[in-house]
Amino acid sequence: MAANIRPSGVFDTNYAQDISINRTLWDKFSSYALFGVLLILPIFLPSDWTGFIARIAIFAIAVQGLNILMGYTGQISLGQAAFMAVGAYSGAIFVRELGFSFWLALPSAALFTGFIGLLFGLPSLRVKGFYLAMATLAAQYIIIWTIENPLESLTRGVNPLPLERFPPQFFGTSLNRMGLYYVIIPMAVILFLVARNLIRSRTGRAFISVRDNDLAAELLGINVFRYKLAAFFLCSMFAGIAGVLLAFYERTLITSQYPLFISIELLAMLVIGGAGYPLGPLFGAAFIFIVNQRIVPFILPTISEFLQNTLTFVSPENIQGALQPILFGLILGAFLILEPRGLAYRWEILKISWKIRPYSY
Amino acid sequence: MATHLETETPQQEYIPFRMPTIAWGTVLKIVGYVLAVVFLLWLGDRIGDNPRGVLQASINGLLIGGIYSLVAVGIVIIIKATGIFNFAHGGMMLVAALAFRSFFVTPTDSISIVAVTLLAVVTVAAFLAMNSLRELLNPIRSGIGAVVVVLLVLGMTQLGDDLRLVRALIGGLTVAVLMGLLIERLSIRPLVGQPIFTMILMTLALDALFRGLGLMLWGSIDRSLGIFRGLFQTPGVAESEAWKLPAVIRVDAGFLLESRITTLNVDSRVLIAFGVALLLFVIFIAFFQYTNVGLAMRATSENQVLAQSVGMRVRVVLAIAWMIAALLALAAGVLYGAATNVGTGMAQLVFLAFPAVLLGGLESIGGALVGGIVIGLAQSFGDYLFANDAGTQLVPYVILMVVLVVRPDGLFGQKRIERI
Amino acid sequence: MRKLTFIIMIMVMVVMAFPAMAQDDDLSLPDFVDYTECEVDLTGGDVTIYHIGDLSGAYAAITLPLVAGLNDALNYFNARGGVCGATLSQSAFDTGGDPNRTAEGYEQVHAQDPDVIVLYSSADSELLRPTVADDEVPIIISAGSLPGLYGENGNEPGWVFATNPLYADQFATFCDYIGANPDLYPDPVIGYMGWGGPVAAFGLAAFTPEAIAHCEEAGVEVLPQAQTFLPIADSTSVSTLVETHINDGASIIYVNALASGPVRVAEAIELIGFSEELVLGSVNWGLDTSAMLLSADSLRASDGLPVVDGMIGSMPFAWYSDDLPGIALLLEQAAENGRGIETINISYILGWTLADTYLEMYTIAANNVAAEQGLEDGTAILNAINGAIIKDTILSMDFDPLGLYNFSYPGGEIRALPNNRIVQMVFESAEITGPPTLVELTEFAPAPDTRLRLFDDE
Repeated sequence: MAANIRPSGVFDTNYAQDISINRTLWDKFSSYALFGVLLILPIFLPSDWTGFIARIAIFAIAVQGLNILMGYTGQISLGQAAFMAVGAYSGAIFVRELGFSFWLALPSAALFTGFIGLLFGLPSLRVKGFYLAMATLAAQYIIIWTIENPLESLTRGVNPLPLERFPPQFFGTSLNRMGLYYVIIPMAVILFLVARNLIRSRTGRAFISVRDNDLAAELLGINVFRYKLAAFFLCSMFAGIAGVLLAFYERTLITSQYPLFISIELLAMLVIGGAGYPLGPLFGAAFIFIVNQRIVPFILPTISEFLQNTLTFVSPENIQGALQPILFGLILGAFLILEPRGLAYRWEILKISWKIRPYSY
Repeated sequence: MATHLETETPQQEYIPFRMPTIAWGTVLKIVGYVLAVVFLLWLGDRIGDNPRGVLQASINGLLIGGIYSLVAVGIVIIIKATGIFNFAHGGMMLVAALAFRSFFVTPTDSISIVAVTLLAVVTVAAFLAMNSLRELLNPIRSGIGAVVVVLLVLGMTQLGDDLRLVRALIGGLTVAVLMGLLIERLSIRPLVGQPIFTMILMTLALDALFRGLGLMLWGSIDRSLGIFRGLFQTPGVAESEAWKLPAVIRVDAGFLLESRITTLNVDSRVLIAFGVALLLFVIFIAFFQYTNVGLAMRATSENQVLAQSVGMRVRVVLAIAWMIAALLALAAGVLYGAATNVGTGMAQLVFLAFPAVLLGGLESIGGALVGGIVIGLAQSFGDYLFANDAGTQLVPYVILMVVLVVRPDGLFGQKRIERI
Repeated sequence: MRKLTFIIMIMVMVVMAFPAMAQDDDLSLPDFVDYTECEVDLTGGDVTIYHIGDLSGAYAAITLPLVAGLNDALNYFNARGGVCGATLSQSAFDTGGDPNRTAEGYEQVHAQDPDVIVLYSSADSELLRPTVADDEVPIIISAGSLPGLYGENGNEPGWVFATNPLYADQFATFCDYIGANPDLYPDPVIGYMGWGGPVAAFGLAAFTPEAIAHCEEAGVEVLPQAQTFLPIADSTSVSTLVETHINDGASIIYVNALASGPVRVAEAIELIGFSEELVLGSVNWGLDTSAMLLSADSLRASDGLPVVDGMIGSMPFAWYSDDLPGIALLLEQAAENGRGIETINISYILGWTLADTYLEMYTIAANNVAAEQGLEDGTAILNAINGAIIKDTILSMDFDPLGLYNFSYPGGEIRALPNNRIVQMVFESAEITGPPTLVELTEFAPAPDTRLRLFDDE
């Protein structure tokens, strides 16, 4: 991280300054302002943008979990969507079957997901790299299969599990979508702060040393396996929280909401945002959502018309159907070539060049 | 089992006090053995019920596994050459197989000479310019290239419909070569030196692109690809076609326990596809072991910088690796398509081949063959023994988990030697 | 965005409508359909058919031909005046089969204030069910599922309207037919198969305890274990599953999947050598043109015909081989628009009937709104139409879109069109010249409502 660059002549004079989250008054002010803007935004935006921001926040939480595991600790997971499913289903079952309130179900589902994550983190004792990715890929399939088959009586199998009747209560009132927005955004902010704080702590430094060289970390006296498991636990907990929030936001859950494809997409969000940067997950989730849900649908009709007129030998419906994956592939590919290290990396560079302006060195 | 530290460094006696560690590896091993014994006992019980069914399931799994391993080896070659996991392999299979099918079913007189010439010229130019565009200025190379272009165009347009398989092979190979070279040139080469995940993500972008292209140019409807149909007897006209294979090979299984189905049945299409897959495998391994290019590829995968410093053209080697991967995608796509059908779903096949790659070990070509067959068998037995997708969704991955815990580098993967 | 789509549609329509105009002297709506008379003039208005669905994923095989049918139908109807002068247009949102994107797409479409939305996949309707009820937006879907239409308990009719009978009810119709013909199908035992993996919700949609109980009452045994396979499975893998059913004593295999599913199963049956002993049945999507295209180059039955020859199944609307003026119109228009054999399939019909339903639905709604609120101006009338009015309109309609099926939800408590019939796919020769022939085995009749069993027990 390149946040240590300061204007010439300004130095940290004590440890607290060196590790503080908000290094300048401006940092502090701008982060509060951003939070405030997010909170009052729904008043000015059309309804579909509220949902859009809420979903970005939910997915950013899941990606932040992945960031702790992958960006900080260097372990790969291809099963994050399945852990979201564990969170969503356990939360829903706690509410439906055990009569928990939403506020109790959220932490208990997060903890439960964390323990399931521990279970699938066990292979990290011996398995590394791609092989570990595939062990977590196994988690993806095994978890979804378990939800659909042996647990069918609780989860209704492949059928949807409705939560319409169990809206989160807040001092006696049922929260609607707008109400949930005010749960999701602070939750995302808190979890981002947790992740940001984590790397300043002993645990976080241990994570990073495991990522950079696990043998060296072990020689330094770090219990590598314990910290790997801790990372898996945290990663799954974040996924679990995101799953619960998504389930209660959509009010229905289906296993097909959490396929392997979503796991891969979450990984893509992390890489695009910048693995190992606290803000990376937010950038990544926002990028994928904006491209997929806003830019592509917006430019699609124009391009579709152009192609239908130029490629007359292709049937227009095929163009209509094919453009979403083609445009997504092209935009993603172009982005990767232009920004191979992720948006957060570019963001750091922008911040530095702003701080040291007008000199570029 | 202990951690690396205790086995590799003698310094451990300097640590005065350690918490007693639980040997998780041993515990897992014991649990694994117990589970395996229980499973085998149960399996034996089921086999006793229906030995013919078990035999049939094994045959089915073996045949399908052979095709999986052809998919797996295409992924392995890219891992060996560049270290990245190619998610786009399914998309490459799809586009190559659809292009092959187009050349196969389009009548000779409807093939557009302009389009075919363009395809041939671009492919040959891309091949010649594998290292750099300057190569195109070399008159000898360009001359040979022009001859090849003419031959390709003649092959794709002048062969009659009797030789449509040859025509489809020429066309399919051309498209596959072009696809492999373009992928390397336009998407992988610009990312050299960037984080490995960026490259993996690029293959995901390519996968979306290929799926879209397949949908746009060939539509959404699955098609059958009857390349082996000429080899089979037409029902009813058996006399003149005695040399041909029956469409289904049936072997009487009356010697096994009596059951409602009395024969072992093998689909000839799948059998031929399996045979061709094995043949291609042998050719591929021979290529990799005994040719200069294969040697160069092995050297490059070992250490790119070192290979470059001894004067090897690493870029060319990488381009060839992607080209071979595309050719393998063509082979797998066509064989799988001939055994079933060609359609957009084929891009998903790569996820069925993943456990095969892992099981065999990421770097092992022979391992891909074994891995594919093991996964094919696992699926088949899973289908036979359990219901509800357990065969495709559960059993291969459970086996994968177990193998990874017992042998962290796959069955035949290279043992990593770690240094600080 | 909406305007842009509109302009593009207009341009495309103008380009495509010219040849049609030159050929047709008589530009009036089909006379064999009983349309409601326009009492208002909506000229200059725009009625958009919003549809959200999987255009590029596992369901693309049926959704793209549906869009093709919709496009052809819109051109045809707009050339004939549209909805009382208003232009019909369509706006698609592609989800690629990802339910999360459906939720997002719905919000985007909802921001454009639609009166009614078309969905394709039952999973999408299940996901959106509570939301559309809150927003009061009716949903039209070709094949809904029990939880999508009636909620968790099966007795809460919502805002989702299906134009096919429930899959469970189609299965029950099939059982009724089998049970009623003991001479053809002695001692029937059905082995149920369906798509699995990510689309298992569809594959297992008909395998409900109620439908099974109905079958047992009709004298048809259903094997307790359903077998599922992935959409990309090959026939050799599927044959392992079919063998399990055979060993358990099945005499009939029922497949709940899109057309490639029954083809795989039929190939597997041929492979095992049980094509004489086993009867193959399927849901309406299985009896499709692509079933024939797929089996064209694959295994052949001993008589040289495609393996799917003789497959029976439920078909809740008219088919190309039926002698109806609506079918003649479809085939003529398909030829005029240069549609290939692969496009002229089951969902091409549904695209056309969907456009026709919209035409009638909006005519009735506009008439009612104009009468009730005393509006004259076309734009004002179209603005006054909202989801609740459309829902009332749907519930009050009794209309035969292009004469191909009956669109009416009698009683106001059902959400899936009830009529169904059993047909058989028959081939005269192995050559492919057009869509396959479906021979009617039973007449159109209301399908059994297996849902009612849920309440009998109480």
